[in-house]
Amino acid sequence: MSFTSELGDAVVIDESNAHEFVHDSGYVERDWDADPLGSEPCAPLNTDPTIPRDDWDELIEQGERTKTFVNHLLDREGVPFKYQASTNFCASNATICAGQAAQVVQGQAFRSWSPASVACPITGFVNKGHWPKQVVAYLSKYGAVPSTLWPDNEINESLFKPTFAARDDNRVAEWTEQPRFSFEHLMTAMLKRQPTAAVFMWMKHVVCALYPVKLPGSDHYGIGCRNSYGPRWNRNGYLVIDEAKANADEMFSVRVVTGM
Amino acid sequence: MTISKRLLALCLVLTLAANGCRLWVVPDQRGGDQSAAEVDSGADDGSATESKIAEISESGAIKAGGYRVLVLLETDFKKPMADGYVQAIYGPEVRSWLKGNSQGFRFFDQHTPIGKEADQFWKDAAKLPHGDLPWLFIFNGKPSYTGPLPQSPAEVLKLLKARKP
Repeated sequence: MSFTSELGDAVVIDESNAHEFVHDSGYVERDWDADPLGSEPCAPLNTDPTIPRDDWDELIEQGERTKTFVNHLLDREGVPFKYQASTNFCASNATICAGQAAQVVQGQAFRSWSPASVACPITGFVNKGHWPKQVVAYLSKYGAVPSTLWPDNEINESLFKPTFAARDDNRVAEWTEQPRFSFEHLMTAMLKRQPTAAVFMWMKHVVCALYPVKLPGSDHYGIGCRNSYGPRWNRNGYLVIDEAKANADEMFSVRVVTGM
Repeated sequence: MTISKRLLALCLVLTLAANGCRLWVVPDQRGGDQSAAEVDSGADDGSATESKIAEISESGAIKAGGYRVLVLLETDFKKPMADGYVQAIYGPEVRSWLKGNSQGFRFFDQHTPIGKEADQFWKDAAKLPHGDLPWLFIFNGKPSYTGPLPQSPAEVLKLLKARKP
């Protein structure tokens, strides 16, 4: 089956232009010695087999034709893009984006969560980077505060106690950690509609991976992601990363979002 | 349901039972139509299935849950699902109707670890026995329909609308 995706406005990041997208948005690399792969209790390492590459074209073609990938669901629901502004909270923005996308996939009513409400207790209310595993652990244990009670990028310790009780309805209880650098696992998560927070060290950034694509003019595949720079970044808020640059250093896919 | 339809349904059950298939019937709350769903034959005994449904029907969370819908599916597909399934599960028609007409709906992979789900309703609902996936459960204070997910959004909507209180 010969098939390529209709990419619309999305810009593809590959070997030729990747240098233009390196921007230090605050990601701090996970301490792999202290925090090894699969060490988070709520996010066991994924040992399931991946969907064979030979099947990808057919599945991508079907998802695009029927408009049933996660990006389609989010766009239809009007789920807004996260915008991290001048914070270094890309890990919290991308990981929360994945949790909120899974809300929609599972059928829950979308309710916006504040990335700062999770990043602040992790960083000690300082504007500094962190990594997705910390966010995953916090979201599983305590949850996030709705954006209506804690603005998305507000670093403000006085918000912590008064809003704490509101976290319980906004937890992502179960995740799967994907094997490092495995494009096949990331692609499989996309085909299964499992939103994934993905770290790309070459970019020094964390993004929310949502859908698979087959790139035109090559036999390469790619991953469509929402960035955390608002809906107008890079034309439409999305980026597509060619598989040559899409071997993620750290990946967490959502399994269960609890709450309403 | 008329008497002749009841007799026909009984004959069907007996015939299938004699051939090793098991069927169970969930009476509709409104006393109208009845639905029958085939349970994987030989997997467990039909009376155990019925008693499991009866047990879960007694759950306080299910009784209080109102009109809700659960679809169990398998995302680890060995081959692509039929277009109609994909559209019924991820497409806009069924979801937008449920959004405006139900008290909640979920689409869960059958392997979703549901133990930490906050709402007891979904924990109880996901314990119901089912046959080959994808599988549809419609609740209305109790399981009012349980059967294979129809293969198109239009057919799913027809079932949902018929069961809406």
